[in-house]
Amino acid sequence: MKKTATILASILSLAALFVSAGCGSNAEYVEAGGSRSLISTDKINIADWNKAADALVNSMLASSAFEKLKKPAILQVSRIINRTSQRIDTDLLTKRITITLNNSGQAVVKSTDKYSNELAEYKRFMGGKSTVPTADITLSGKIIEDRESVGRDREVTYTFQMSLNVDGLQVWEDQKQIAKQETKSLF
Amino acid sequence: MKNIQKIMVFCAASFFIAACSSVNTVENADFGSSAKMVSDKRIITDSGLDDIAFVAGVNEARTPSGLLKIQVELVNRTEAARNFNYCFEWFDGDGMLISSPEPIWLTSSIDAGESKYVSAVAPSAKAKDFRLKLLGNVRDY
Repeated sequence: MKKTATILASILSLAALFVSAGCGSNAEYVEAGGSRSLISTDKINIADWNKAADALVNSMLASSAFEKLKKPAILQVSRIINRTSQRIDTDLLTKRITITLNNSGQAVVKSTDKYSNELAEYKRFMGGKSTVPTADITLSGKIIEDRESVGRDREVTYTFQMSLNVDGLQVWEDQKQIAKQETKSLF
Repeated sequence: MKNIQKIMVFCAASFFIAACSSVNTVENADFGSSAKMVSDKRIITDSGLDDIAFVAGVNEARTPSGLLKIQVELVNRTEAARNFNYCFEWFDGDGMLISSPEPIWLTSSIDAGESKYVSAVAPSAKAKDFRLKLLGNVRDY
């Protein structure tokens, strides 16, 4: 009987210790998508979006895609097809790209703001001259997911494909693949 | 008993071979002779990292639109594949950091003995200088 009571007491004290340890918060700030941000094989993490966007915009700027266009060219973000198993907001990819293109002086992005477009239409109506900008170049892409597992090892590869299109031609295209591996624990 | 010894020797040999796999390379004799190299200043605070991602050379070029492009050659002088982080920062002519879009740390892997290039294009025509920051693998999970 005494033995059972001792065991019970030990279990309870361990549980109490576990609960009290769980009460403390050890949250801290980390750089978004930085070297200490969490990564997993379950989804496209912020670090992956940053890495893909950075590689693709570097490739874009190093190319001659904008060379023959007026400066800055008017860019319209077209469709980014999602072929992954998750719901994603493609602005996580395209925004970093358009910010860089804008800052570099290569392109200005055509606004998707409804009010701004209405104002442009109004000015056109009043002045008799079109002020609604038409895009010189469009940005389109696709995100593909591929999963593989061997034994306890799991691997996911995300392929980010992008192209810049002018008059029905792809004047630039590139892709960035990001692969992540994880070994599942036995328990 | 002898069989167990044989298996243990085989396992040890396999582990040794796997741990020592490194990259061999071949290139033309005057490789990179026309590259515009940058004379650099280095501040080494982590000598271990300097072995994982030793900066072998820095060269610069201009993109067709006139933006500064930097390419850095890194060499892993250790005997194991490693991960490291790097980040390019860009500065204007007055030495002010160009912070939009914000500089980000990127994680990359490098095999033993491998020479790897990391490159970046300046995000603005105002960029005149750059800084490459290197950091070891800080993800401890």
